[in-house]
Amino acid sequence: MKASLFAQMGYAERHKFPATWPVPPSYHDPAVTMQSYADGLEECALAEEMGFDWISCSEHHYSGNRLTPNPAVMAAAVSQRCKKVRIALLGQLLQHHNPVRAAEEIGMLDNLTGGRVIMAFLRGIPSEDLPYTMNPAEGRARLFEGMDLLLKALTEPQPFSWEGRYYQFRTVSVCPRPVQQPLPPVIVATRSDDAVQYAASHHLGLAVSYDPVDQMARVTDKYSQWCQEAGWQPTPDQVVYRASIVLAETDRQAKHRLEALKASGLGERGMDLRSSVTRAVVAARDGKAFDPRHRNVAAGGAQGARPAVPSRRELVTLVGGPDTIVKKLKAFHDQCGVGVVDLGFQQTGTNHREVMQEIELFGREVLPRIKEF
Amino acid sequence: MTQAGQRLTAAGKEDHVEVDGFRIRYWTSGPPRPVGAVVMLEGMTWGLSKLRDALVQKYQVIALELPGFGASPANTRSQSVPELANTVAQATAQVVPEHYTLIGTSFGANVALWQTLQAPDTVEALVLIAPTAILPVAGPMASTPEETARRLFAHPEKARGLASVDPAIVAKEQALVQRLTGGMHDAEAERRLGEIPCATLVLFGSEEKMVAPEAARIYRERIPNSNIAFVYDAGHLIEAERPEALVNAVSDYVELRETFIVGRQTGIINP
Repeated sequence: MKASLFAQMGYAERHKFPATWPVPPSYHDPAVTMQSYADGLEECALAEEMGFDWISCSEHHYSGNRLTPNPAVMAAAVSQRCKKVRIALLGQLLQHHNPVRAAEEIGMLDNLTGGRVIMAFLRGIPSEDLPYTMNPAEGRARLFEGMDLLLKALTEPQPFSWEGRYYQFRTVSVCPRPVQQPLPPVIVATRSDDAVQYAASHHLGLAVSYDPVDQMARVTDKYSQWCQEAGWQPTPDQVVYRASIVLAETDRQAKHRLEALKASGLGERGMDLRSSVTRAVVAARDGKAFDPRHRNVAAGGAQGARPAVPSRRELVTLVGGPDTIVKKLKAFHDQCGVGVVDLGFQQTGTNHREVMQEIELFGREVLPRIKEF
Repeated sequence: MTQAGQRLTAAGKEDHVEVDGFRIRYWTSGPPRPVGAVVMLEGMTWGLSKLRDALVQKYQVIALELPGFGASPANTRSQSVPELANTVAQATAQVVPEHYTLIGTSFGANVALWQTLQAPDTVEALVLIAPTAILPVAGPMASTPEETARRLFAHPEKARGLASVDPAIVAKEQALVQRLTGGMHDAEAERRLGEIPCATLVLFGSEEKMVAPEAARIYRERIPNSNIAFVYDAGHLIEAERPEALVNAVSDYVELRETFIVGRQTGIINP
């Protein structure tokens, strides 16, 4: 099994954020932001030094828990600091973007990194539908067409036109071409059947985030079956699990640390939507209308808003000392076929020094053992 | 208006010409003062009726029935696609005395390609919709309707909702196409693509299964003034699955030719 550092690039003072999304720009002090990036890049450098195989950058908007609204920009910065690891855009919210521009960015990145880029695409949680006023009902179809267009743009050697449902480009001619031919590795991050089927039918990898092992196994079982029906088998690098982690020298210390984080308000502040907005997004995704005057909608200001959809997972998915973490990761490897675990160490309430200690501990005590899986 | 799947012969003023011993029917339609002429050649099975409906708003549209296609008698005389194209070129010259835009689909596109090579001075612009001349996918003929639908459609379930074609006509056309092409790559056509002097648009469905994915780029590489277009989420029968997209792209190209790449849609939301 390989290990990936999820380069969250969290704003150092994110514990001061309001609960709800979006976080006002006024909460961001550029001096703190610059230091947060510097700290995050230092964490990446340490991860590479400790033997991590990948570093991943995600796309999140209007918050600061992850200061990476454009993961390609972040990946470019990481690539100049880390010269060996693979760099995964895990993942891009392609449905919001110009897929041709995204292809151009990937072409640039793959050349700037000497062919180390991995690309991944996803639809994301409800708040991800909001930044650019996309109709949530169209998100999935836009994502699928966007992926088809992007893959065509990266592989077609002659200029072409694209007559799509959501995208029309009369001239597409992406330069530079990726170093990795015919394509850099592609992953679909999802647990939805239609997107899992898309990944299987297009011979693409799969990433699942934060699910317990039994839930992820239900997804990967279907993926494996559909890959088989499509006439291929994914490699270990094509099954990725993203987890959040609290690692300490012992289980007891890790649990104690988790309790302390919970007591200090553990959670990804600035990520929750108002209940009414979440319901409206979920309804719109299903093509339904939502009346905000519904009596069950929570009233009150932003600070009092609660998510309408209960979380399906623990706030931290891997907690323990090295032995426990190895055992848990072995379960993901054995039951789900996971070949790459993508780990987020930056929990709200942790600081840079603590994250560095955990990365070092993981590299020293866990990584050598999981590489043997 | 006609529905996707209807033959071109479903509308227009019918007439015929005599060429090479063939009685070739054609249908003319268009406005009182057309801005130009468009000649359309159908392939097998499903046609271009929606595209014709759009073009007749501005152009004199001549839908020409290939000898051996549609209701015409079985064609046992033409010995090659170039020979058939020569017959069609002569027929077109009798119907459209000057210049015209030539559109063909599937096998009709193969004929249109050869017609352009043989009458380069009369074809002002060429539109090839899912041509099968270059890199057709080899393999046995489909043995069941379901298999045929899987080869022709991105979404085979859509085949059920389309106008059906008489199986006897399909068999007759299939026999002619098989005899003239053998389902093989037309190396001579590929070699001569560089001789096509006019603006040329070649369209394929993004889920095309009748020709190899590499075919499109060959047209783009070899034809000097050419564009290729992929119609998303369509198979070989583009009009059946994405009629609006096909009509939009081809209509723009017929009017604007290679300048159809210039954006003209407004981005204004609230002026």
